[in-house]
Amino acid sequence: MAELLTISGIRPILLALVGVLAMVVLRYSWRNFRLDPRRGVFMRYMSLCLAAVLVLIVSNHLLLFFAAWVSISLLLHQLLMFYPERDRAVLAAHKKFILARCSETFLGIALLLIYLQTGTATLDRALALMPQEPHLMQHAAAICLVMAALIKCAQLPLHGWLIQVVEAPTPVSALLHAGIINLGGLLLLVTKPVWSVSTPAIWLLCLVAAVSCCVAALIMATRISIKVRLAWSTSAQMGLMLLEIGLGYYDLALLHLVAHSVYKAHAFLSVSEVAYIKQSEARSLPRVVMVFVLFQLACIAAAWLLTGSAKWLPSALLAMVLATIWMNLNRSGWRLLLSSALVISYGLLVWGAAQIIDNRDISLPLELATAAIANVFAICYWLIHHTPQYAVSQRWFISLNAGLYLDEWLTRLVLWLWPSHPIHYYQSRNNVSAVKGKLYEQTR
Amino acid sequence: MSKLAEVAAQAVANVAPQWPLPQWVAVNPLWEFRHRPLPEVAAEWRYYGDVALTMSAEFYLQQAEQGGIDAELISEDMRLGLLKLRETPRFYNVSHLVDRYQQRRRKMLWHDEVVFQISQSCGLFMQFPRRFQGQGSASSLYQHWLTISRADRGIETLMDEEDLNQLFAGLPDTPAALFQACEETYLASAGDSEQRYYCQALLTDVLGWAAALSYQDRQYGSDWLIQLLAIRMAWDFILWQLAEMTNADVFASIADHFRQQLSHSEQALEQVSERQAVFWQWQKAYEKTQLKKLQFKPAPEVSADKPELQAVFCIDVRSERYRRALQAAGQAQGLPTRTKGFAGFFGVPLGREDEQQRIPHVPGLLSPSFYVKQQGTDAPLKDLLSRAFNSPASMFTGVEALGLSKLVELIKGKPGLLDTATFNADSEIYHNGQPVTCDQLAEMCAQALAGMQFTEFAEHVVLVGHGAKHSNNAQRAGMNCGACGGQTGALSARVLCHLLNQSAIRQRLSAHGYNIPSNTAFYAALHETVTDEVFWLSDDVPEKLQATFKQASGALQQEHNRATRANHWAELRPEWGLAGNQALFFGNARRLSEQNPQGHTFLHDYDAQRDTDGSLLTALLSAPGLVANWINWQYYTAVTEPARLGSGNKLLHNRVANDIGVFEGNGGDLRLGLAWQSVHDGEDFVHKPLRLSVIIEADDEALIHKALAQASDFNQLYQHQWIDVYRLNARGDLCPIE
Repeated sequence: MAELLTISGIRPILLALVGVLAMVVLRYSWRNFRLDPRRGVFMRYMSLCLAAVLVLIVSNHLLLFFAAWVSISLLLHQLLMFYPERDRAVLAAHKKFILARCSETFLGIALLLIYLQTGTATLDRALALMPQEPHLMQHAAAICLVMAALIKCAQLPLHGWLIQVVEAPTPVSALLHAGIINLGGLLLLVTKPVWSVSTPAIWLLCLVAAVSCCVAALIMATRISIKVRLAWSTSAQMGLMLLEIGLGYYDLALLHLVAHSVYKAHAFLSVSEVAYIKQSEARSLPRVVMVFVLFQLACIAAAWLLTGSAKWLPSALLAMVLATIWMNLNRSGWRLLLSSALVISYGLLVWGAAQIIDNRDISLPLELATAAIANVFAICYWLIHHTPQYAVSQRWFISLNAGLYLDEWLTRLVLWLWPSHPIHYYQSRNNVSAVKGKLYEQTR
Repeated sequence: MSKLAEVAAQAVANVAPQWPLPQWVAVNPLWEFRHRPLPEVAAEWRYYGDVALTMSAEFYLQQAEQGGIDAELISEDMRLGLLKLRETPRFYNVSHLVDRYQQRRRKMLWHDEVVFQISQSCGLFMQFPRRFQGQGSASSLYQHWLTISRADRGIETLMDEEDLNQLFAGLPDTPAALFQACEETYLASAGDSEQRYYCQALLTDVLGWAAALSYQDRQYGSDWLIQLLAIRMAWDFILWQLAEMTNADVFASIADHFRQQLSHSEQALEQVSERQAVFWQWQKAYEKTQLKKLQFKPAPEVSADKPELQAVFCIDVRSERYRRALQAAGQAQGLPTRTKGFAGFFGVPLGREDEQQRIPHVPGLLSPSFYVKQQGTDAPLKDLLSRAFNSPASMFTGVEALGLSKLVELIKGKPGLLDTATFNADSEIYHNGQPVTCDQLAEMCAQALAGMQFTEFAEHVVLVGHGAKHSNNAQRAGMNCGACGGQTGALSARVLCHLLNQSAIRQRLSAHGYNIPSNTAFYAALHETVTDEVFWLSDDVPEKLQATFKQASGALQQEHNRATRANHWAELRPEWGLAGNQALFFGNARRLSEQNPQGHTFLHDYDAQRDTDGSLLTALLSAPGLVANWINWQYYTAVTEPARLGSGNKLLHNRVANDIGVFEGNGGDLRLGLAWQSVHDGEDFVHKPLRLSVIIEADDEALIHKALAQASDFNQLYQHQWIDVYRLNARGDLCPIE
């Protein structure tokens, strides 16, 4: 049995998470589809999909892992195609289908290379046999794993499908955004001995994820509908998770995975209740930036004192929240209370996560580079979204709103490869053949 | 001004508004066509918008089989009429024609993409007013769209058309110039009425946004709707030029088809009318049969028994079932009960105001003259939490640190929401920005009492507002009280009860002719329509009263799990709302037979004896009469045309742009009207598509004629077959109006 299944490492946490999600999402769908003639079909694919996720988490055999990975995606495809009469849903599902096959190809190659290199198909044994000094084959496997994860997590510029599949029923979005999309993270966390020794793979992962994370977050704030907003936010959040993994902050990545899943499942399931999202208010840019920089310095200093390392990226991100709290509350009592509550809960959670998984040594140039990207991102955000009076802000806003024209070529390619057809659904208006049959019967 | 611009201005005036989600009330989407005969309007909509206003042949045949239509009402001609199944002609815009004649199987379709692009631009405009509406209501939507489209490089790539940007650059800069340019080029051959059909056809492509912008224009004095039409026409203009540049042969067929249909539109319309005539016969037969299900009793002898309990309800069809149950419960409890039906805001033109907004609690056609000032909901923690998750700068660590705080609610689900309002002795009411005086309040109360036709006061008078407890429903306002502008009736009931119990007000009321006995007490209550529970909004409600209402609720709660439906965040069909509405009855509610099916009738009190000059009836036809028509047509069209005049599948609903409406899925046009789940139970339609029958209890038909002559909007609806009117005579028969 241990050949096939395992619950080592972070797996118990993921099992618990997916268990809770499965319960919530299935219960939700059951009620959501009350009186719907296709309730059974939906529930079937939904539960099969969740079962496949559970199998993936516990699988310890390369083939089983691969089979579960592929079946999740194929089952999800059935859910995304739940309304085949909707052109755009079909187009999005096709796009996702094609990209999923690409991701699987990378994963397949990676697993094959691992097998060839170690001679065993049992995951934990193979990982233990991974050499510390990588050669070409391992670099190739590492890059394939990273590519598989990047595609799975909808990183730019292959993110379009994630946004467009909000054409599927709400519980599907919850399942996808809170569960399935995290599998890229799971893959990397599970296979870290393979890729974490390959510098090119790490740089690829970190740079794509960092840019993706920042750009997707900027685009998110230009969206006009709640579900699309949430979808862009997922793309950005996945970017951050992958970045944390790439840098070696495995504890943060694990925390992120769990917290984001819970938050995003809740956000999607209550999507019709969302109170209106307030527009960001106009602010003086220098003032915001000053507050941000001061907070950042404070966080770096605190991290240095407490842990002995500066934690450049987490400090920058924490400073962004603190600056936001500071700028949005007027009463200093609230400011202090909320900031400290946030910092304390964050600290405790990170400490908790660190008990479960150990971090890797973090490469300073890489972290500085990504922290710089994060800083540029924060300043861009405040420039674009808080100072609409500048012409440059207006120009960038419009480009961001257009998604930086990243997805159009892919849509075109997908349509060219695989045309989608409309089918009529709601009402068979003047349905000629059916009526004719009945009429003939009656008039005779 | 070019002729086309004039025609366009007329066309946009025909678009009925749609209220934003927080105030989402029922609207008849064809309201502005009331001055024209329904069959004519239906033929036009079918022709240029592919919108059906009757059911399918299949539906009528099925009804005939199941007894939904009396056999004697179906002639052989009607049967054969359905047999003549010819292709119904329809009008195609340039965007449709381009898709049809060009080879686009492996490319995006133009029509779909045009609607998508326009919809996204409008959404952006409404979602970010500070950025795009610098000059308030004078800001130009057309300019905004043009700027965005000219800067955009994506659509060129997406559609695989390299010349697109050049064409955008060449577009005229104002709507007026654009209309001029279109008139001089591809619309050169179109006459007045062809231009009108074309404008209507373009508007039906983006009907959701048209309705939303129509609301904005009416509310804030902007002129965005005509700019929307200009944008839609600009797209056709661009596609026309693009086709011309691309392939001469294809362009020739497109141009030919387009010009042909312009010059033949009159004949085509006639064909559609002819084809639809038989459907209208079937529809009429269907309505006639269904109306027989409503039975009335002969006029009772004048009874002298004085009620001990008077309860005023909204005219909503959901009140009807409760009123019946309450009458029965009153009898059982030995508490003589009389119920009254009146618009659910009880005639008090109230609104609620806090630091950020003003929310009217009146029917959509009115505006409040009194505002109750309230503290805004100050919840810094909740506010900040939402900001922490939603703002790009804070969402990363924000989610890591606080995301788990949603775990409990994720497992338990979000309970339903029901606004029971707050109002107490300290609450301030303002009239025209000034604190209100006691005299003004007394006058307001007097008007309310006159509206509700109070002649005597029982010991207990209960004002029962209604509201819907739903969880996670974007269209919740549509299930709340329509007469309260999509809010619950709680505030109106609370305020009016509070005032009527005050001795200072009662003193002044006697000057208005209302002598309220000192032992009479007013109580406020809220009828929750999912569970049929009644929530008391007043303190110290006598035991007997509570018991009576409790018994009434209990009698209605035969079905299980209603509370779950009200409180489950995944529930898409918590209640059937006003589905089934079929008739509006002005008269004494006790004339309705107990055997009538529940929830089919709007009930409004009316006593023809006390209305010798017909002025009261005129007022009733012009206010509740129109509201009922709006509701009736909202349901009617959601059944006959769920794809265009309904808002689609709730599973896919996606709230848009500061709650201006919903998308179905990722994008496309803003959606209009009721969702599929609001009218369909998975097997069949729950709402029967029947035009409203207005039934007036009166001995004298002349009175009705008099009132009709004065209630001009209502009369138009009646004359043009949008609504039917009957008189209920003393024997209990329904007499058609001669």
